[in-house]
Amino acid sequence: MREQGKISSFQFFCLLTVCRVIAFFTFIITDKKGFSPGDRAILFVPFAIFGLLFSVPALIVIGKEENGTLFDISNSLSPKITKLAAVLYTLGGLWSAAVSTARFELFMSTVMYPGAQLFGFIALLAAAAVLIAKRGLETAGRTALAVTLLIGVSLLFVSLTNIGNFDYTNLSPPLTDGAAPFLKSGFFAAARTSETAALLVLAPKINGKIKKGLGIWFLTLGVTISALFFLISGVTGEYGEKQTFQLYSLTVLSKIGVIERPDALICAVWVLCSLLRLAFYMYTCAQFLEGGFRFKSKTAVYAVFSAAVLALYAFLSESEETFSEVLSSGANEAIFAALLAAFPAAVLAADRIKKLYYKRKRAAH
Amino acid sequence: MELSKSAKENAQTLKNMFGGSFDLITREFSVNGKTAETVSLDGMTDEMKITESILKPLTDDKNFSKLYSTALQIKDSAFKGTGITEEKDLFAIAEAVSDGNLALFIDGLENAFVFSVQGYPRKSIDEPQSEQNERGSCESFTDNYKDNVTLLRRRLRTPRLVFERMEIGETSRTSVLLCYLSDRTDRELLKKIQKRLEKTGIDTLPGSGYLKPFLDGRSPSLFSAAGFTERPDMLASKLAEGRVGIIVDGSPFALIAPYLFIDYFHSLDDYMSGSLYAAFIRLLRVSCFIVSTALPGLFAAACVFHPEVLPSNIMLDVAAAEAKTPFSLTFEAVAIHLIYEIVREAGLRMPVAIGHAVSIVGALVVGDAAVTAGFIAAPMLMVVALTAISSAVISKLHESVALIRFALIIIGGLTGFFGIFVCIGLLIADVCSVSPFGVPFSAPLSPFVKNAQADAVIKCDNKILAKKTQSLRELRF
Amino acid sequence: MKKTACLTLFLIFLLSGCSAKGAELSRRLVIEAIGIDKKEEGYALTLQTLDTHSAGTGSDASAGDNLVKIYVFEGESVGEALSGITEATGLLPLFSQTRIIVLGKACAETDIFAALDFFLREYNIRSDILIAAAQNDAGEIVSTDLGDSVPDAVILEDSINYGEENGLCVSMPLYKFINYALSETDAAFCPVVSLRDAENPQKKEPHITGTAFFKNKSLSFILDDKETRGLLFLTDAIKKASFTIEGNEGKYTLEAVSSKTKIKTKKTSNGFVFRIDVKLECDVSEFVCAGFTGLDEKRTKDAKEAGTRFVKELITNSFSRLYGTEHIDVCRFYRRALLKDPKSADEFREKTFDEWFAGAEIGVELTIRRTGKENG
Repeated sequence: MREQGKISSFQFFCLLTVCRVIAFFTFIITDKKGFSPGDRAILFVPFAIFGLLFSVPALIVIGKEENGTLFDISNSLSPKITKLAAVLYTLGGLWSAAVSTARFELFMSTVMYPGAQLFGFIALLAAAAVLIAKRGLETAGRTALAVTLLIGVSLLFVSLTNIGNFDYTNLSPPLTDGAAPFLKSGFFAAARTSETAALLVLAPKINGKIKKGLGIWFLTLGVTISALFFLISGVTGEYGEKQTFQLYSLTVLSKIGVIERPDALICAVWVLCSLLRLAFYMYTCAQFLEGGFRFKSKTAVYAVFSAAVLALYAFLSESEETFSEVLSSGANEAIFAALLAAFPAAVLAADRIKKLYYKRKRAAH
Repeated sequence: MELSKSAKENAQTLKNMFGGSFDLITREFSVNGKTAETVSLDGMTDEMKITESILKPLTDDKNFSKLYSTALQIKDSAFKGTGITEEKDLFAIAEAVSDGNLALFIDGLENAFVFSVQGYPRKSIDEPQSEQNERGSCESFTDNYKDNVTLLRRRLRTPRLVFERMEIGETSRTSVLLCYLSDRTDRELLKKIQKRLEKTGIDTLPGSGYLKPFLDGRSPSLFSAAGFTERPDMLASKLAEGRVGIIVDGSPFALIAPYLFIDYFHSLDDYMSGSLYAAFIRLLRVSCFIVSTALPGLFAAACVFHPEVLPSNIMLDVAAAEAKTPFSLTFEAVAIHLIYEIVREAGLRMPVAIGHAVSIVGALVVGDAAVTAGFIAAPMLMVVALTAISSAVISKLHESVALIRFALIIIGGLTGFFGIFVCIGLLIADVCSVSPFGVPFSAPLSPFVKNAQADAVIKCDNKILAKKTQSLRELRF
Repeated sequence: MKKTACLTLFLIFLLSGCSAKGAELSRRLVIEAIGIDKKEEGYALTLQTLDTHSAGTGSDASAGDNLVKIYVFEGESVGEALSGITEATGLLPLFSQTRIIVLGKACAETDIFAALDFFLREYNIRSDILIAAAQNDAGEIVSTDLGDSVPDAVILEDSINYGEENGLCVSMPLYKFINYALSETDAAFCPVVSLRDAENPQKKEPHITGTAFFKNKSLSFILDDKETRGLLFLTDAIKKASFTIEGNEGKYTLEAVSSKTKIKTKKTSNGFVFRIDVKLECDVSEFVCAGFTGLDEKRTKDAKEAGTRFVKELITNSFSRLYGTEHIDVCRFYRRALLKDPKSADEFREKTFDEWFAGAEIGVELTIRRTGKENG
């Protein structure tokens, strides 16, 4: 018998997959230095390793009590830390949602609706995300399963239709700039995986093995993305390097029978990913606020979050230059790394110190 | 309301309660030396039964002895093969007479006797009109709930098949039966359904479909959590899975609760065919659902926003055809689908005698003349035709599909694929958010239940299915 | 609450639609082919378009003649020239159906990137649109009426595709063209198209006359038909081919059924050694000699040897022209070496082209599969 209000770990990782792949689909190479095409094909190795390392504090947190949350530990330290955590993670989630929305809007305005003002579209996306977030984690989890299947089918289609165009001489050898830039790329890719912070508050709502699932997830996702990068390099070569959206350039080349340009249809599937990502972030941030300030989320919370995302996105998407500066500044990765690893580690350390202190005090008496 | 000692008085009171209705028949005669009155409704009772089984024995003094009380003798010896109850309350007696029973008042007796002698006209068992099968049974439910019970009992010959009767409707007092297999159905599920039905608070119940929104409860979804069927074999198979059937007197459509999304794509013919063909047909039905829902919207979106998706030759033909028409493609799509809905509605409501005329008008005027006159483009008509045929494959979902289709056409015409896929996302979320009676509506696909996949989208061989017990318990919370 | 949400969503949908900039198909100008010619003051673009508006009001909507309309736009740049489309025609240009871009000779001899940059950025253009070079003016190729029942661009595209299928010419999609153009040692190339008289004296037909190579962003040299064939073998682009060869016993016509070119890269102390192996399977479709005689074992062997010599000569001539004379790394030896040993990239820059590439070994293995239904 399943428990109501909970999702399986498979559904949860499908959610994370959907959130992460949309970042990959709309990936823009802003810093080409030390991120050669050859490196991307084997990026899954440092990505998986660093990703798991970043997740260690979160895994310890949820392991302390069976599927516990960060707030279980922070509450024992001080309610102020709980509130601070709630605010920090909500702001971090807001920022991540705004960045991915801005990136998706840039993608849409470049290849799907060039010349159009897309604020209305994004507002629509945000409104739809509110409706989904309101219905809870179960809805999001089950929807993610269906969307993951659609993504899998679309990626398989793109891959199979482009296998014939693969030319291994288009590839670049890996590690041409040395190991340091390669590891740095993997580090940044892992640092950008902000979705795993959701474990800190959603763990009690997940059935099944989270730790094992996380390891498999990082590895599978990394291998899939690396394989796609490999295919992109092999098919498009230098031409692909000049494109803003690399995977899109591959979908343009997919053709089957009389259908020569299914890319618009394939990209429309990515709209589902963007929608679900926004809904997931909304829900997770609402859970952080609920945990920190002890109130029941209502539609107003989601509506305010969605308005804040829209405002932030509007600022980011003002120009491609602004957006590019923001993404390549490294601030993004620093924020996520801090929230993913540093903050939970600090809370765990503080908790440990406090327990040691009281232990010694009791021993002294 | 208590009975009086006078049979005549009681009969008169009953007559007044029925407002002097012409079909209320009273008979006065003598029983064992005492005055007796029968009250019944003409047309609701079996006259032969009344005469042979009640009046004749009652009026024959040989059946009675002075040694024992008349009431006792009436109950124990005089009547065989007829259901008989005693009743004190005049209101209850009135209700019993409304149900087609015969009420007998005898001077001096405290209670009246109510005899079960229903004999109202019944429709014969016919072939199902809305759920045709190639190789399945040709029997369908009728308007009479007792006949429906018999049809079901013939298919589930087990004492564990239980029928719980309740009455719904202040005025109509329609008999509603909850049927289930006691060893398979969850008690909690049954209680939930009972509770929802008891809370309806309606005055009259015109048919089983009226109960659907009450069964859906508060779940705000486009798709209903209760399905319906005209086929006893279908209901029997669903009961065997642990579901609950609801048979309403006066309606040949039984309800099934809970009804999952995947159930809309199943048919009994799947189990009579080979597994490969059945799997193919199920996938075809799913494709038809997608086509009937999304094709017009996708077509409108592709033509207006994303023409690169269309193959060159098709795009040229569409462009050339659209150049002739005065209306925009989106408007054409909406208009032609509206016309289709009108023709469909007309087909349902019109008298059979003029059916041919409407078919000709529909085919010629809409199909041919509109294109020749240049109001509608031929490619759009092709899309509509394909949509209509696909829609007929999953007719149970017609209501939801029609609404979604219109929404997608307008949204596709205004915003392209983006808007369509946002809507599809909302639809998927809608399907995934509902859990009627504790079972996820999107089960067993999402959440993924491995054991149930043998009979979900594809169908495994019957030999494999026979080894598995298809149960709702696997899917429940 | 639910009604409010639905109403809000619907209003947002309506508002979004206002800014989405869609257009009915009848308001679009479908561009099938583009010819780019360089003029003194910029570019002249000849567009072969399908006028669906006229076709819609005409009697036969599928007739190519009724549909095709030619427009010529001029401007300082390609983008400026194309921006005049809406003003001139009242229609929005649709590039997604464009099948081929033809570069005029004058345009090819100047900066090709300047001519193609617009198409690299235009989202609607297919990445695998064909590139071709005109022998003279691209406008002439694009504006000439080539067929009756199909658009002319389709005929042009089919000619190139047919030629590629049968080992007569190269077929170069845009993304590959750019790929080769950006390569350090490689060069972009595309088929050269001209027109010749067709059977119908009022019509012309497209004629593919070799391969144009572009070095340093402009036209450098043109390979003839034979050299093009050798190029196709070198780049493993032969699917089918037919050639007539003179053997000792007579004249043979061989149909190549399958061809595979493998390039092996070996690192030695002196550098890299490359070996090109071509495996060809052929059927004998015709054998002509004095007197009517069949194919016996001796003649089959003769055909094989003659075929092997012929193919090897083709490949060797093309190889020496491309590598020896023009210094084009068409077999991508550089990239193969880089993949084999990435550290050797710096060494490449210290040595000359001849020192690295001129000395590849070429081997041809030809197998005669079938000799026809007549028993030799």
